[in-house]
Amino acid sequence: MTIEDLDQQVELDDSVSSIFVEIHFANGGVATRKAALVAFAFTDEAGESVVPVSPYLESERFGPYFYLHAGPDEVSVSRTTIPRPEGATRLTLRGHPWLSKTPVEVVGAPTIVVERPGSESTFADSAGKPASVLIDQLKVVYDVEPGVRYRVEWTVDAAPGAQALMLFDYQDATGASLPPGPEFQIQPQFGAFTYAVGPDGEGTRAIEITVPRGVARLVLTGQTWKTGAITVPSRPVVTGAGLEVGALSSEQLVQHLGAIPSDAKVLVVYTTAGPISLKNSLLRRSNRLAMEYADAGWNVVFLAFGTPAPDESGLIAERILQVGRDSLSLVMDVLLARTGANNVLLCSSFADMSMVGLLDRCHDHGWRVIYEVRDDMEEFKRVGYSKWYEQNFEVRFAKRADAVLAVSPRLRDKIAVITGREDVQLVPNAAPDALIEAAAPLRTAEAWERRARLRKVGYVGHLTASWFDWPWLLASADELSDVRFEIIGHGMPDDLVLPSNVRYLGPKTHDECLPYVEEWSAGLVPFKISRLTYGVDPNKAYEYVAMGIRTISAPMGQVESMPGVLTYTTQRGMAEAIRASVSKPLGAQELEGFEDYLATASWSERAGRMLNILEGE
Amino acid sequence: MERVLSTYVNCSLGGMTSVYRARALANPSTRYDLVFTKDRGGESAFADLPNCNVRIVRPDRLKNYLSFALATVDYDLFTVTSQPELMNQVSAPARTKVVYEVHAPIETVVESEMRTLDVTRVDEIWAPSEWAADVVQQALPRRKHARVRAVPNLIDRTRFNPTAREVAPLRGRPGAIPVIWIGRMENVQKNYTDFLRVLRLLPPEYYGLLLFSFETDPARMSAVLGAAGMLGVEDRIDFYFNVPQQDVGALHRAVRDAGGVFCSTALSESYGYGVVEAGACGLPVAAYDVGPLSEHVLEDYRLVPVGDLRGMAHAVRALSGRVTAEA
Repeated sequence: MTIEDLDQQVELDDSVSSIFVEIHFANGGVATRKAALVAFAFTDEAGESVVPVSPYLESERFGPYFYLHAGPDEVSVSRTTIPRPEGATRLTLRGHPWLSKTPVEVVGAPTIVVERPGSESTFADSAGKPASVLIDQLKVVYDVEPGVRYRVEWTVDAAPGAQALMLFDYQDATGASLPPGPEFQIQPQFGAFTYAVGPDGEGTRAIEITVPRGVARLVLTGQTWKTGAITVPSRPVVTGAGLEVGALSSEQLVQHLGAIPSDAKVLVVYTTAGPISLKNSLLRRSNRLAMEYADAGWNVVFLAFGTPAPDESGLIAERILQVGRDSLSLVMDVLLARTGANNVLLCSSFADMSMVGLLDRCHDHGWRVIYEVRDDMEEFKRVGYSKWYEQNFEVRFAKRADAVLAVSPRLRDKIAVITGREDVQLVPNAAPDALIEAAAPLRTAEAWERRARLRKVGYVGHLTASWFDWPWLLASADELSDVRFEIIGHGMPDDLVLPSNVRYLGPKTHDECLPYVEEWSAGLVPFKISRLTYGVDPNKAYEYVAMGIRTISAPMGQVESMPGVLTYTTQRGMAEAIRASVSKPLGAQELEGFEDYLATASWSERAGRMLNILEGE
Repeated sequence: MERVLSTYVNCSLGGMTSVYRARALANPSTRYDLVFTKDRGGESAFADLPNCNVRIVRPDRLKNYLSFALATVDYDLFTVTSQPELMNQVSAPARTKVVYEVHAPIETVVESEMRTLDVTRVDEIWAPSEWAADVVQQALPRRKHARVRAVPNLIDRTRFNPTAREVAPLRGRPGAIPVIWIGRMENVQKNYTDFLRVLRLLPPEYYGLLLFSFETDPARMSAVLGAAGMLGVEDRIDFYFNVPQQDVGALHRAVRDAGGVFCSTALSESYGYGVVEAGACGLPVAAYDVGPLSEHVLEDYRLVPVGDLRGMAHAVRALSGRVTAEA
């Protein structure tokens, strides 16, 4: 129909607060402001005219009206909300052409929604067709569960510069308002809010909320903030993010922990290692061993240093409950209802003050407490990391632990000296069993010949200048222009200029690294020679052995006892070792040495030793 | 149902959590909205109380938060503790009674709060003891407008009583006598240093059980260890951090059953929650005689002149084993 044909009446009652009108129209795609107009009039039961609520446009010819502005698109949309004046029982709408030079066609029937305060917005007209609501008329109610994390997502259509507040009201089962949560900004008049429109005008936004205790309903409403029309085309979507992706609420965590049978074995791992990621095979010692402990029947509560991704929180595998370390207090408050030595606290290189404050309580409950020294945290602190470290925390914890182990001779000796303990055990790192098996074809003379032709060496790991010896590596690369260096990892200093034979490949997952390593003749552990380095037992060295390549390393850990390792103490030594590693064929005897070594250097073997320590054997 | 809105800075396992908990327990038909600005691990202390809503709000949002809550919810009572500037900024409607609570145990702090507080904005000022109310009275200007009341703190008798079945295990030092001390890692008020000195004066079979909560600064912890090392008692102390409220009573009973004592070396108190809760569990208490501690009536309770190390060590020895011997 043409705009002139638009003639519509809407019946109203006293409960109606406003009328939302949406008209789709076409004028040939010619952008024209004031292309047409819609005159409107209210009447009461007696048919007498009722004055609209100010402000509104009015002319002598049409009376009150609003414009339809045509955009460049084939079909334009006009959305208007008209407040209902008191006493009005009917609204009449009539269309008129105005400035458009081409005829204005109304596309489909106009959407007319009557809004009633206190009722929930419908987002559909009386015919059931989808319909927008003005932001001020937005009111949607959701049933929510306390303790669960939800994602609230909405889309608005906003005029340029327009802004509105999305208001969040928590209510209990009786409808009484409860105080909002910490996620929100607070406006003293309207309460908890976020902006409906993003800072760059984006109309689709989301916020994550954790519903506090006692809350039964979330009521979402809108409030115009900066002038300009904002409509909400559809009901905002609330999804239970926590439930869907596996993140745990406190209540769920307590439930999980409480469900562990009282006679079961429980192991709490508190570590400087990051979360166990089942999607990424690059796992650290703590991660790998946790999985081995769970396989051996221990109920492992893994308190990762970083925050696990939502889909990697909670019960991530059978008998592995992974949470962030900020859950330590809650975890222990629940678990310390248990007593006896079938409960173990394993502190892995993370003797911070919370461990000091927990150790004696664990002992009073009959728990075993184990301290595992994986790194020289005192040195990490000295180079600017691990600010939580205090030597007297480590000494106290290590002195009082039921068992202490270290991953390298240097760390074993240090902890023995500072604690006076003579029973510190050495349990080095290892290579993954799956890698040892899968990489068997790489530990052959044929594989070596293939690699030798490529003359490549490489490194996988952290690239910080705090311990990565960039000056020596780059000097060696300069000297060995016929050798190609491939560097994989993150944390590379910004100001490095790499020679043409050094290629930085960026960070990669473990699986992504493998095709590169297959082409290397040697793996590098090019760390600065320092007290920090001496204490490290590099996992990558074990993996280089598993993949049938030599290792060029600073002296550290127990690399010197590993097969195929060339250590250096000078830059010239580093360069010579690299040259030798790409030139000297890998003989049968050396390859045999790899196999012999790997027979006792797998994570499953280490797990066996660790299990004995956990059990107190 | 009555509704109360209360605000304090630290949501910890410390004194104000005890205050709020005990009020909520004593008034189950009153709903308490408790608003804090620092999450110090105390939220779990309210988990078993259905009439408490706990919220942690960013400090820069607190004023708006409270203003909105007071404007939209029909609160009967609004209390602010230890934040006079905030009290001066937030207006409550006429229907809401406004109370400023003073729980600071240090007189200079109370004086400072009263200097800052606009007393015309509050209906009453509450202090937890007669002694503390007196301190507040003296710190107020003569032309004050608010009434000062001593509103004694309540004790959670469900947790702090001598007969509850829950008794914490103390397996770490079989046969040794525990002396329990609860406080902060500071020597301005709680004064751990004197406790370590007293421990040094006690025979070797005594050990210190130090409970700390909401401590996060490694340097403070390191200082405690350093002080213990200097006094040669580092191997005679156990640390418990952030013990949940429900477990503290069980721990007091365990210490009592092991012949131990609660020792307070606080240099000042506004009420002395630790002392009263320990005594409520039947644990003998030795304390420096400060603030309102002499107002409390407890069994097996000895007050010692503040700073009297030998007197305190003597009191601890005299009290230890008393309960087990009687049993």
